[in-house]
Amino acid sequence: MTTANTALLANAGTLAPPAHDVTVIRHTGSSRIAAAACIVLLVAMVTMPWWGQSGHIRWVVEFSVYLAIAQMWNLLAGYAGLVSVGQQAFVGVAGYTMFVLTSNFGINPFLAVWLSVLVPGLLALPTYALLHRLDGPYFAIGTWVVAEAVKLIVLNIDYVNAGSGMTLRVMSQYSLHEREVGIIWLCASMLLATVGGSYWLLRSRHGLALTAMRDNPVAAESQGVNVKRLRFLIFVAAAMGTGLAGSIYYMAQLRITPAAGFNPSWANICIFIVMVGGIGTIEGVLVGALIYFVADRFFAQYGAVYMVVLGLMTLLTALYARQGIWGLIVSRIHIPLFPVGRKLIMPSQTATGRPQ
Amino acid sequence: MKWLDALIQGVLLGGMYAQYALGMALMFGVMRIVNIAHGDLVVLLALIGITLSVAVGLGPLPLVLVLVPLAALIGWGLQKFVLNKVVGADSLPSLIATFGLSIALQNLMLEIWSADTRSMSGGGIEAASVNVGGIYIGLLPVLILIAATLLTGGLDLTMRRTRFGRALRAAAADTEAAAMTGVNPRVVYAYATAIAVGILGLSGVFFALRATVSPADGPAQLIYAFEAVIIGGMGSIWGGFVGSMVLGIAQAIGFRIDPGFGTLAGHLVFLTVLATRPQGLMSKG
Amino acid sequence: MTPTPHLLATRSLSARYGDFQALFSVDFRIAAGEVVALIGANGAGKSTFLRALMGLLPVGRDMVLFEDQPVGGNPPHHMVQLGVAMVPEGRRLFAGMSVEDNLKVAIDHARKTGDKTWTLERIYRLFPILQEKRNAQVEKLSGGQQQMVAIGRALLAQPRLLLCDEISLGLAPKVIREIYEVLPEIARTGTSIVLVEQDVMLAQRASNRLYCMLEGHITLESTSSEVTRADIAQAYFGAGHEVA
Repeated sequence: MTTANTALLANAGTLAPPAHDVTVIRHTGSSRIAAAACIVLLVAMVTMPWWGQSGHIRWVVEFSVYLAIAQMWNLLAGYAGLVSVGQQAFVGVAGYTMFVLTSNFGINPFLAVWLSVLVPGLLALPTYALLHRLDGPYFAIGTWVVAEAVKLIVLNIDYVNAGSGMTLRVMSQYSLHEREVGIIWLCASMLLATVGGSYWLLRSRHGLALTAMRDNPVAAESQGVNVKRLRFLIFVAAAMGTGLAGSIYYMAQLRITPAAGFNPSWANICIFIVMVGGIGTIEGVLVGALIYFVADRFFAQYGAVYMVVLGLMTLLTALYARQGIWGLIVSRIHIPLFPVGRKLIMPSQTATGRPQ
Repeated sequence: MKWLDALIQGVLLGGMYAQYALGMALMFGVMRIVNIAHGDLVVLLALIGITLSVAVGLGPLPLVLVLVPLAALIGWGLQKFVLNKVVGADSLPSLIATFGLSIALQNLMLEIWSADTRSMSGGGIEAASVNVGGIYIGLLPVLILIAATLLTGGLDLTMRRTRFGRALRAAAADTEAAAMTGVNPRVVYAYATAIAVGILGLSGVFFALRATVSPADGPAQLIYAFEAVIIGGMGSIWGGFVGSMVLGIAQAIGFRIDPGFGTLAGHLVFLTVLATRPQGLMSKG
Repeated sequence: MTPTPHLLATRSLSARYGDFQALFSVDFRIAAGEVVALIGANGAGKSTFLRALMGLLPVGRDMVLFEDQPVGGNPPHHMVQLGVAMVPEGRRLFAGMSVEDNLKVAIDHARKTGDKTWTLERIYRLFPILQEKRNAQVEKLSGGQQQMVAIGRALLAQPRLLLCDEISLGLAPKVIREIYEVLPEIARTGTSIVLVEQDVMLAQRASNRLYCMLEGHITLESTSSEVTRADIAQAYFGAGHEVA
């Protein structure tokens, strides 16, 4: 039922607008509060270099990066049905491109970050061409092998110092404050582009197509959703969004190596955040990213035990709570923070004291 | 001579991969279950083996007798308590569940054994080799290849000729139809995974004898097993063996071209097969 | 009313798929050696009913009685051991396996108690073409031949009750006749048969008694030879079944 409805609605743009006595509700009280909170947080974020500590700014950068790459994976796995375990390929190539552009071509690093997302976008084209016909697990393994292959190729390129990696020396021409302003503003733009962009996309007419595709790709196709094209566009967009996060992360690190940039743990972070938080929702990604960030930031010092716990949490989610922690929350209380749906209110529901 | 040597070393390397691929061919190829923890289980068994050989002084053969039943028990439990809850048309839940297990296992091993690499002493067998016309052939790799061949042949016969094999193929083809024909799919799957992981008990010993082992080695073993099964063709037990040989030879030849190109050559062959013959080399059609 | 000895009976059997209730309080019985037809329009709940009997749907324990023992919700492989076997809708053969391997799966897991009435040889005598094709993969067979494998597979489980779901669906009239000709031979061995069938005339001819279902309810129960076309039409389409 839901499938057919969402698919039908995806086509609604071509239909006549709904009769004027039906109201379409697209916001709730909780979502207005959430929207206001986002604006406040964003303002706080971009002004942070003037009031925050450097250590905390680094935390915000890290958290933003996790949020962005996880939301990109959420679009892939949660809506397009493309389960990639090779997102580290895009993190790595974007990071390396940014380092090469600044160190070897003298391009301004803050500009180079934006230019660097073109390369993961380009890498996504042959990758998708090679893998798009494969279903589920084949696709997943394929993306992983592509990422391993790209890593091994970079490991063999002397131009980027092979296995020893590169250092971002040009950043020393900026003061710490300048660097912090630059990076935090990049992070804010990145969040607007990845998370905000996803939210906008899901609330747009394409969002209905995406939701229809998530629920049932075959039915969506039959309702006129161009599933193939949509999947392709999402794969490329997610590659670029993931690359942007990678560039910013390694700009903050000032150093990149093949082992770090192409580390499969990037894919692990995506999978953990989205699956444990709640696949197919933006709120779930927020919850998952918070859990991962807190665990990584405060428990890593006690050894690898926290990763054992995170692994087991992923396992338990897959076994008992497929919709993740956010799914458990909304099954008890309905507080959508980022609603993407449309709720129709019929006149009979809104009218009070209707004459019998 | 250089290339003949590469070919022989590649086949011997393929023998090692064939041991991982065998369990994978059964689980992924036949049952369509994605077990991301496959490689970590090899490493876990190898590390347990190394610890036992140091602490108790067990030789390789007694170790096999201890590790294979232990591995089979782990496999049985894995299927019964984890995978039976996530099998179905959608492979994402099994992928995510075993992915979580893999992360947990890797880090648990890191806590127990630290990141150091270790190896097992096999009383000289790991270094013994014969010189055949100028090419050194290691005794251990030959032993591994023979074991892999026998196991593959045995498993293939089991799948084709026995009650268990028929029940497993039936359950994999149509779980519900198998159940209404009297098969208990959950039990059959639990035994199948016990076999798939049980074989890793043997592979774990060979792995520890042949190379150094560290807790982070799992994913590489996993990717080779996946590649071998897909190169060979899903659903075919011998396919995994053939795929392992192709992968081993590709890596050995790549390594002779440039030491940095070995693993990459294997990946490139895999991607080529994926692009041109996604159903695999051994599968019909 | 004198209690008739029945092999299987249901008592107020209800079943649902998620939020959708598919069966409402179905009372059904079948005696040993009896052939009972179950007719009804598409979506009336016939297949759901068979699935509930086979243990493929969760139902209450007391809702299904086999020889007066409550067996509702038993897993399918337990039902096979009791003596229930099914020829499922759409045949559901084991793809990638030969005809003989398909049949052997049933032999391997057949009911352990009682005589082995059905042997591979007897199935091959019943359907000689299967012997000829015994090494062929099942997906290479024609629809009729596949249906024969499905029936053979169910019989080799040594059933006392055979559930047949739409065994004539999509087959040529000549093939349907061939398949229906073996039903009396199966019934002669003492095996009861539940026949879900779209073709009402065929169902009526082949059965001793019949039930008609509509929207998950039983709307008619009758001896097959006595039922009139008007009764069936009323039960089938539901005109006034509430007042009946």
